Parts: sequence; structure tokens; C-alpha cells
Amino acid sequence: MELFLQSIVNSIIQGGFFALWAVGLVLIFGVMGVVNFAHGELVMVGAYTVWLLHSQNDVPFLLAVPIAIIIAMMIGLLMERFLFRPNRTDPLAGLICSIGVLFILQVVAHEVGGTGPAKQVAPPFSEIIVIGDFLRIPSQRLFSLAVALSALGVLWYFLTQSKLGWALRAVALDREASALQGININRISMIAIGVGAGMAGLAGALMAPLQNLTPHMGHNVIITAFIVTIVGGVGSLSGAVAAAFIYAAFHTFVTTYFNGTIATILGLLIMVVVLIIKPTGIMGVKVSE
Amino acid sequence: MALLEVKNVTKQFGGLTALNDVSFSVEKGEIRGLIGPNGAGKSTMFKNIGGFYKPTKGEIIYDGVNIAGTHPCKVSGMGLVRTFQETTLFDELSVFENALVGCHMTAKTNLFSAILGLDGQQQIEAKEKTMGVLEFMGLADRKDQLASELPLGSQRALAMAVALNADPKVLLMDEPFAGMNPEETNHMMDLTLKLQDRGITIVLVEHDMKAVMGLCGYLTVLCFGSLLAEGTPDEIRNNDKVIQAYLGGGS
Amino acid sequence: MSIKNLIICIAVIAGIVTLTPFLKFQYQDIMIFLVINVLVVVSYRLVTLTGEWSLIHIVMMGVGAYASAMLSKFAGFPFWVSMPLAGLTAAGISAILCFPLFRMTQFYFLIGSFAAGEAIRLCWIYFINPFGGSSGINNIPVPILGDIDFYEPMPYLYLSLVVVTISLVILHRIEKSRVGLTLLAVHWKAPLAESVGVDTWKYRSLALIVGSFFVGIAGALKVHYLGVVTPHQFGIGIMVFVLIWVIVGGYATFIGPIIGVVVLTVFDQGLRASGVVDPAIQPAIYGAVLIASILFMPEGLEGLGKRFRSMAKSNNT
Repeated sequence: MELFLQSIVNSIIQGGFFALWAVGLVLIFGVMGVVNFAHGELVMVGAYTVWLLHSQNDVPFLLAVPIAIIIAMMIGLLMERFLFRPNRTDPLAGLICSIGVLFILQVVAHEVGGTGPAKQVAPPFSEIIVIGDFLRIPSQRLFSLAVALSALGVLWYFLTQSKLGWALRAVALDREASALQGININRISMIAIGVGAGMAGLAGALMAPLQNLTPHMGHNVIITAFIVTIVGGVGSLSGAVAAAFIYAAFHTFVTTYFNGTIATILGLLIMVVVLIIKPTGIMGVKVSE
Repeated sequence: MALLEVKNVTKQFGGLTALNDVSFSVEKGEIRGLIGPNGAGKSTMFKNIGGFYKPTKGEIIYDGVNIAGTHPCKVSGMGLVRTFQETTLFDELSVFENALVGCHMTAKTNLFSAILGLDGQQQIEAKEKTMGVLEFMGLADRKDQLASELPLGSQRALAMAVALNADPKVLLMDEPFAGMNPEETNHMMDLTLKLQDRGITIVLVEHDMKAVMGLCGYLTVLCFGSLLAEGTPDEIRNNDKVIQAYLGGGS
Repeated sequence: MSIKNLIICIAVIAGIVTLTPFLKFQYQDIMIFLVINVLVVVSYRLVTLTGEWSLIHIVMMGVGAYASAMLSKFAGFPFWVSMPLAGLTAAGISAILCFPLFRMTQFYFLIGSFAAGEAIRLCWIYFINPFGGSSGINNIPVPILGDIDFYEPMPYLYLSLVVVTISLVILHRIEKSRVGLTLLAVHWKAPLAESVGVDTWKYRSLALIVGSFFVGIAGALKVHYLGVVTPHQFGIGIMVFVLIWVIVGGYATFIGPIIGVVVLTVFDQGLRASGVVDPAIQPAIYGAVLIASILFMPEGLEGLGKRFRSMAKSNNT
């Protein structure tokens, strides 16, 4: 019973991260039509930035996080300008370029961090909240969840209530029509990838005190983001968020009661099944090919 | 009995009705014109007949069999071949290679005999058949040229050659005269008549009225997805509803 | 194949055979892996020929590798039997995967093939019995033929050359045949091919299955030399190398990917040997090469060759 409740708590916290990971990917794919294979590395960059600033250079955590977001955003904007924009007619080429960026970022992280064991960031919030007799929630995780949910909330507000947000959604729905209406596609693409990359950077920054950092930590992120994105619906942000929490629960419970590797295998199989049956996912709208 | 019969075909895409309860039949050996202003649903009809779309309602009877919803490669296997709007060819292949693909079904090949080199006889037959088709279309002397380097008229002729090599009984031609000058149009009309002489039934979607009036024995007119009128070219030319559709509907 | 090309091929093989004994030991190993990788890359091109980029190819190599390792070590099959069976196993698994995978196109096919491959790879990690988990299977038996010592590089190089050459001949014949023509037709304009009766699903599957057969054989070749097979030999990182070879070399013709893998392997080894660059930086260099190739050289190295040749021709007229 305790295990069950603890798993639920873990699922919710994990879901917050999965949602941040997936939302960035969906934004970029939905608006720009290109898959950013380096998305996991943007998360990694966020984490490493916090490590570099906070752990190695005593920059306050709450300052390091926004800096991490900005750095991830900048990398995303560079990618948009030099890799995705020239390849707008051939999204596959853009995808492959992003694989190149993946390699480069991993090497940069490796050089910055040096060889040796995985990096660790001491959590700035170290209390553990105990509920009842057995439920232990580290406050750092609670903080992360709060920030993640706030970010998702802000994003939702931005997309549904602001003019810019509507423009983003219009471009995602029909790029040509939007261009004909006078929407500046370049600017919208930049905003989409800026926000998407920023989300990734934020996720990485929040993850830094919670796990070991390695240059390859992005691998797990991209796999999870793909699974969540496909299951939730390739064009749909709300689907991605819903799928994020559902998949987090699935993965947490299977890992707790069986094994983490099996959980990922099953997750991948579920994704393949969804791809076969309904490629647009649970809530997805068909993205024009 | 009609060779191709479209029976009460309706095609809906979500809320949009592209074809609304359309029925017509095509007799063996005729050249039927399928005309109408832009957006009438002519290409959509072709895609339904060819198996690219499945009709929401209705049947398409070809040679006595309902083929509605059948996969395109099976439809062509039955002798119903489509040419495409705008020149569609295998750009990076030569003229000969393009046409050779056409006899995919009619001169079969086998992977293992190909590897082992045992298919010599098959290859010779396929080659002769392909050359025959190219000569018929007047393209034999260009056989090694890259398809993308041909002038427009020759490209269209090549597209017809590819389709012809598949031994069609019915040929659905989608705007083959688009963008042609008068000389090319005449040449294309001659080729089309030659196809009819070979016993092929043709359904022609076309905007070029000279070609339509000159080639077709009977016309089926669509407008906004519905059947507007049917008749001989003279009848249609003088049909008030048709004139109104073309002037009013904006073509 | 023209006489000129035939002579070039024979010369290349002869060159490899005569030069390699004079190379340092580690480079003899590299040569063997280069020969095997040529098969990997040419078989991948067959798969991409129908226009779909798959990310499962290297996992199929692993399927062949594991199959051959297990058949020879656990079931006692001689290498000469386990190797073709490895190819058939990879072909068989990919045949099953055709059913789900080819319902997807383009981006979805890419992700789906990635997911299926990753799932298989994770199975090798999770099911310690029989796959050996993360450490895989070691002590894979060396091929036995008379008293030739296949533990040594040169005999294994001959073996690899024979197997790879036969495979390339078959692949080339397929491409030059009407089956190959049909594959190209599906690649360039699938709807047009369908309009003359080509079952594009069947042909895409054929390309994947035959491509998987040959990369399975390559996998068997690789691990019987290394002596060990692990899941990490077949991860997405390696798959990306294959992509890089094919993209940098060009994939419009048969020889493009071969140019890619040879040039990049030489470049890679040269970089290591010169000591100019820290080996840890290598992946970043590959990343930069990949990006540069896509942006500035979309037809690959073979495209550059074509341009030079037509420039030379126009200079001569």
C-alpha cells in the first residue's frame, strides 16, 4: 500500500517532467514540421548549465535556472536559423542536421564536464516532506513539479489567450494559409523553437539536482518524448500533456513492480501500436503531410 | 453492357461533399469526355475510380465487378489505368526505363531468376514490348534520354506510353492537353485517336475545348460535385445549364 | 557491368589483398571492419531505395550477429551454416516487422523503425538468458575450415572479402534487374508505379527484407571476428554512422555509399593517427561533417564526382 501511494506521487512528479519534455518537441514539430532529434540534448544542456553555474561556481540555483533556459533557447534559435530554415522544404534533412547537433552537444558536455563519474548537483531544497508514516516527498521534487506545472500553465495561457499564441497555432494548422494571411513564418518558427527549447532547458535545469548528469542523459529524454508525443497526438499539446502523466504512471508502476527496462520496452511497443492504429494519437489532429 | 459504370457515387471529406450521387456509364471503345468548371470534382472522380479514394457511397462497376475501394495497384491489374494531372514521370530514369516500368504486370519478372541471370528470355520480351510502345508513341529515337529532359509534348506522350505498356482496357486521362500549344495539341489528339483504334476505351478529363469537342463522342458534365448534363458535343455546346455553369461558376 | 568497372573492382580487391599484410595490426582490423561496413552501407541503400529512411538497419545487423553467435556457440552449428542462417533470421524478423512498419510513412516510419529497433535492443539487455544482457555473449567460435587460422586478420580478411564481394554482386544484379528498376520507380513516384500495377507495399517490404538479410550476414561476419556480441554495438549511435556514410557518400548510385564509408573511415583513422584531435571530439566532427554535407553537398561525394565529370566534359567540347 505504501509502495502504491509512493508510486502515485512519483508518477505525478515524473509526469511533470515528461510533459515538459514532450511539449517542447510537439511545439517544434507542430509549427515547423521538423523533428528535433537533439531535443534530449537541449535538456542535457539545461542540466549541465545548472551544474556548471551552481555546483562549480556558486551561482544561486534560482539564478542558474533562468540562465539555463536562455542558453537552451539560444541553441534552439541558432538551429532554427541555420539548420531548419534552409531545409524547410525537406524536413528529413533538418532532422538529420539535428542529429549532427546531438553529437556536437554531447561532445561539448563531455569536454565541459571532463571525464570521470556522472556529475551531481546538491539539491538547494533538501528537506523531505513526510506525510503520514511513510510518504516521503523530497521538497526539491515538489519544487520541480510546481515549477513544471506553472510553466505548462503559462504556456497554455500564452497559446490560448495571446495573439502570438494564436498565430503559432494557426501556423501549426496550415502554414500556407497563415503565410497568406500575413503571418511572418520565420518569426513564428523562431518563437516556436525558442519556447520549445526553453521548455527543454527548464526541464534540464530542474532535473539537475535530482539525478546523475552524463552527456548521454538526453537519450532517455528523446525516447520518452517520442513515446509521449506519438501516444498523445503529434499535433496536440493537450494530448501530449495528458499522455505524459499517463505514461509516467505506467512507467513508474511497471518499474517499481517489475523492471525499468521492461517498462521502456513496453512503452516503445505501445508507441508502435499507436503508430499502426492511429498515427495521430489519442487526441491528435491530422497534421498535413 | 457498359464497360465502366459509376453508380450513385458520393464522396465526402469530413463536412465537404466532393461528389454527390453521380452516375454515368461508359461504353466499350468510346472516348468519353468528363468536363466541368474548376472544382467540379472531375479529378476526384478519377481518384475514386482508380482506387486512390474509396467512395463514401455508391458503386463503381468495371467489367461486371464492383471495384469501389479496391487498391490502385489491383485496379490497374484489372486493366484500368490512370494518367496523372501534370506530367508525372520517373524523372531520373530514361525514356526507355520509364516505359519499361509500365509492363510491370504484363511482362512479369522474378527476383531469383533475375539474380541468377536466368530471365534472359523474359527480358527480351519485355524489351520488345516496350520498344513497340515507344515506337507507337513516336519516342523510340529518344529512348536513352532522361525523361526530365524531354519537351512537354514528348513528356505527355511518354506518360501515355507508360500507361499503354500496362495493356489497359480503359485509360483515364487527366488533363493531358494542359499547357500545350496548338501543334502539340493536334499531335496529342492524333495519338489519342490511335489509342482508340487499338481498342482502348478512354475517359478524358480536360479543359481544352478543342480537344474535348474533337475527340469525344459523348460528354458527361459535372458541376460542384453533381452530374449536370450528358450528351453529344453538339448537345452540350448548346445546353443552357452547361453554359451557365461555365460562365457563372468561373472556370 | 562494363569491362572498365569490372577491372576497377578487381583492381581494388587486389589492392586490398596485397596492401593489408603490410599494415600495422590495428589497421588490419580496421580494414576488415571497413569491408564489412561496405556491405552494411550498400544493403542500407537498398532499403532507402524505396524512399523510406529506416533506423532499424543496424539492429538487424545485431539480430544476425546474435543469431550466428547463439547458433554457433550454444547449438554447435559451424560458422558456414550459422552465417546464412543469421541472414535469414534478420530477414525473417524484418518480414514480420513489415506488417506494422509499412503502415507508416515518412516521419512516422522513421520513429516507428527507431522504436522497434530500440525495443529489440532493450530485449537483448533485459533477457540475460539467452542474450547475456548488457555484457552480451563472448567466446564466439571462430570459423573452421581445414587448418586455416581465422583468428588471424589476413585469413579473416579473405573470408570477409569473399562474402562481401558475392553479396555486392547479388545486390548489384538486383539493382540492375527489373526488380531494381521497379524499386527505383517506387522511390521516384510511388503513385505512378501503382497506376501500372506495382504493389508498393510488396516492393518496400522486399527492399527491407533483402537489405536486412545482407546486413544480418554482415553482423555475423563482424562478431565472429570480434569474438563478442553486445547490445551496445548496435545502438542508435552506430546507426547514425551508417546514415552519415550514406548521406556524405551519396545514395543516388550503387557506389555512392561505398565512397562515403571508405572516405569517412580513412578520414576518421587519419584524424586519430595524426593526434591533432582528441578522440573524444570525434563524434562532434562527425556531427559537423553531417551538417555540412546536408547544407552544402546534398548529393553527396558522388554528386561532386558527377559535377566534376560533366565540367570536364564541357571543358573538352
